[in-house]
Amino acid sequence: MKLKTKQEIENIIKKCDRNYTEDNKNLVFKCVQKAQELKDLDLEYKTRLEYVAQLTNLNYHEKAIPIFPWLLECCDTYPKRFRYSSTLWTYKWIVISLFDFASISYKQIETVFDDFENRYNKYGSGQRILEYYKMIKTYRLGNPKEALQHLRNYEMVLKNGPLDDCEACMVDGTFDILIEVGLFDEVLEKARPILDKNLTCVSVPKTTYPRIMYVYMIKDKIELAEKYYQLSIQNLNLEELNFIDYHYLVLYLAVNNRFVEGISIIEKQLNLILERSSDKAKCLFYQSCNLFFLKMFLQGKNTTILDLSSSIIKKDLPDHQHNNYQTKKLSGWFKNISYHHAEKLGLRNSNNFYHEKLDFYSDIFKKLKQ
Amino acid sequence: MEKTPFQVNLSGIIKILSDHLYSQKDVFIRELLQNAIDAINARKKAETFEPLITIEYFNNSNGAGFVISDNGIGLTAEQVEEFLAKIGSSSKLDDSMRNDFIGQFGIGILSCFMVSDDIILITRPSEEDQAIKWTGNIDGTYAIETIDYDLAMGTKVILKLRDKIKLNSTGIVSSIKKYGQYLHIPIDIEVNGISKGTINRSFPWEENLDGDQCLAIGQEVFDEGFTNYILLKDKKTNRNQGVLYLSPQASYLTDRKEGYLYVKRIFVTTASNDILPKWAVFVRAIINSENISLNASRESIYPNEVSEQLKKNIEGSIKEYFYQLSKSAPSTLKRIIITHSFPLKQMALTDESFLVFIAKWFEFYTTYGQLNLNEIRELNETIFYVTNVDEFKQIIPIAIANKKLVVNAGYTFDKGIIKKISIIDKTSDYVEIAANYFGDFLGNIDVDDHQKYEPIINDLQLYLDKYHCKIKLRGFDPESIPSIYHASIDSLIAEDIKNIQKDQNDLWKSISESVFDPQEQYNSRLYLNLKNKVVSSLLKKSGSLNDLIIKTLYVNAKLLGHYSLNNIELLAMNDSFSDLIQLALISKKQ
Repeated sequence: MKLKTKQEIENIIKKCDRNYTEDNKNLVFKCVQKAQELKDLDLEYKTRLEYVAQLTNLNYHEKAIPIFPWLLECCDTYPKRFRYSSTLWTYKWIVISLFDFASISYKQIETVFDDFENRYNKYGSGQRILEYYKMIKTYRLGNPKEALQHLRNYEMVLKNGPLDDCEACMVDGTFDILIEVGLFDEVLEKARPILDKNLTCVSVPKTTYPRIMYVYMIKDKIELAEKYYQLSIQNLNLEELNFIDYHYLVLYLAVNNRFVEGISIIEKQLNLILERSSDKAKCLFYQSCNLFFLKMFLQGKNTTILDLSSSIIKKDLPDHQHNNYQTKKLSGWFKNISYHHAEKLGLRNSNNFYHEKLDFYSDIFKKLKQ
Repeated sequence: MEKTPFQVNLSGIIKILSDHLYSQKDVFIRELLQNAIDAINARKKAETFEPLITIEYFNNSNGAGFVISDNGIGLTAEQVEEFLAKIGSSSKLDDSMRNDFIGQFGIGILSCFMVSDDIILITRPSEEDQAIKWTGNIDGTYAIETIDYDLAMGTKVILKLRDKIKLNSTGIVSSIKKYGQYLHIPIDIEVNGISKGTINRSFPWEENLDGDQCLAIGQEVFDEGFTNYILLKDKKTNRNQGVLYLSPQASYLTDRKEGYLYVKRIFVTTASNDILPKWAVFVRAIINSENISLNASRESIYPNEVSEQLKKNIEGSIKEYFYQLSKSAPSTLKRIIITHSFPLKQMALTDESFLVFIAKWFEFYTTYGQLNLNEIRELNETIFYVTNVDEFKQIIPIAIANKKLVVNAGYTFDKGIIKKISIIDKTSDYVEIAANYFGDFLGNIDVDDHQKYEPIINDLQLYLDKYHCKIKLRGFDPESIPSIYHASIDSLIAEDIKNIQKDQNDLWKSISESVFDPQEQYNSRLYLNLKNKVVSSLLKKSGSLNDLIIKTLYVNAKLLGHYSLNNIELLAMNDSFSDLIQLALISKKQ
């Protein structure tokens, strides 16, 4: 891959656009470095914009967050020189990733969100997208009822704005809130055009399937849940971190005693999560792991082999011999860490939302366990 | 509620269909040949006779034109009315007849309007019946009449070419040959009343040809000297046959060589994308399919299960040929694999069992030259590989001096191949390394040397702190290399983020520091080689030139490793360069 001229770099950026992979992410970073070496600020802006897109779409939020302000700074320092709309578009991804880190204070989140809202208003984004992001914000800060109100407000605004997400993503993005408040039938109703493939995009319906599977699991419609489990597996990429999607799947596999499939998901996703610093990822995915290994233990599987990267094992996971772990210990370890991160997020949000969510999963698990 | 039919501008529709449905002007020859074949096949069902098609081209003072005649089943007056006057209506739409015919949409005749304003069709369904003349006009009108005409059973189509249509006799003969040479029905060609012979040949796989004869046909068709070919096997349906020629020229994934696809023996397209698997860019194919579906223009394949099955058959035939070749002529297989390594590597990545078979033949660049996987395995039980070409280049001299075989897996597909093989192959260990491997594990220095040089290394370290680079003292071969630099991609990203964080406002700085905290003070390492003369001189005593020397070694090592230099490093390089020139000038004066 040649990376010598501006043209070659631009060609690579074009090729990587909307094609988010580990290799492309690293390649785009090389482009950033080359643009710096060429001292070409416009090229550096383009490459960094793509790099942040790669990072956010591959869930490397802890790296995307520090780089994003550079883009904002460029647009503020040289108005009209750079694609401000693209920076604002990227801002959405950054804003919603802030909530996942307990180390970012409530005040900091509010300040950034105010800035985000002001910029969107000034740009003429319209209220639809802002109500939508207020919905996500309030939900992720642990207030699902307020989030539902914003969801209704967003639905009332019919006029689309220039910074709106694609319709498929916007509809899909409401499902977690509707699930949270127990409006399962509304989820199924709204998902119909997505599942019928009349409303799709690069991410949807692959991210919709696990949620639909979860809804059917809660409604105890196992055949339908299985259908959407299989669609999830066929469409999601296990090599990329998708902790929310996969935490639903691991729960489902735990309930159904499907340990072989569950372990292969846990091994892959855990290796990725352990390298990241998102509290939300650890909180949700670890609770699924806790329940999964608990179920193994309850089924008489006292030990299991987990193939994880050795340095990470040494650092974090409980005692083991040659990748052979005691399921009861694993379950306990995941539970502790999961609740620890829920406490951190709760402390920041001043509520028990995540703690209660983990309890809810345990209750469901008890109710559904076969 | 009363329904009102659409109003259709027939002449406009005819023009659109004839001008935009087909990409080539000469396609009317195919369409007329196709109708003739279908008529002959229909007659064959009822009686035994000697089929014949005649194509006459004339170009005289009255203009140029074509007469295409066949002795197939003719059309009755009702059939003429039904099938020629109604666009989209075809005698071949009846399901029971469908498989026997090439055309099926009832729009083929429209292609004649691409070259002519009038189509005259004279047909006679049997010797007893009178001939019927149908005249169609591009303005959307037609007329039917019964005429006395000296015509045996069959159909004759007469086209007068528009003045603007420029066709020459050589081009016409070549078009007829292209579309109709394999029809297995003799086609007599006449140009201005002079016979140009009869076209009628068999596909290469239908004649009992020996290898050289089959290759000669490939040379004739594709104008390329082939040395290998594969006969397409369709064991399941036996309805697809063909010959696949393997190009002797190296092929790349962007290549897309033309082939010839025939459906029911009539030529359809040269675009091989429709029939060949994506990776088979080195194959030039002649294929005839009896069951594949075509789109309305009959210039490309309608993708469905049958076309997918054909692709699978082609893939299977190529693989089977390779398996056989590995036993009968391994050196030939080796040559083919080396020539077409890019597409074959791409294919092997999608098929694990084929990868297991072919991997040993793949060649890789190594520090010992170009070797195949078997040779690599024989030389080393542990196979070291590097997934970055720049890093590999940096490693070459050190690996060679230390007698280590390292594979360059930085080229397209090589990383994927090696990683997949490392999972499958239990006989060897595959270890991914980077430049720091040699720095960290080779050339450990004596503990006395370490203690002896520690103070001066600490002094030198102060100069490199601003580059977040840690100095490590080692002693490795070759002596000529003073230093190697290594930074992992993670450390380069960390460095980048650190630089960005420096200029952020307080809000973003505190946010970004709370989510990303590069713990290591040093992002990179500079391994100084104690065996090198410059380094050993540098370490003898602290001096005024140490800053200059260590900076130069640092920048030099970074450039050798193909790492980018940031602004500070570029300045350092310029300063070092100027200082060295000055020193050289001063020493010359003295």
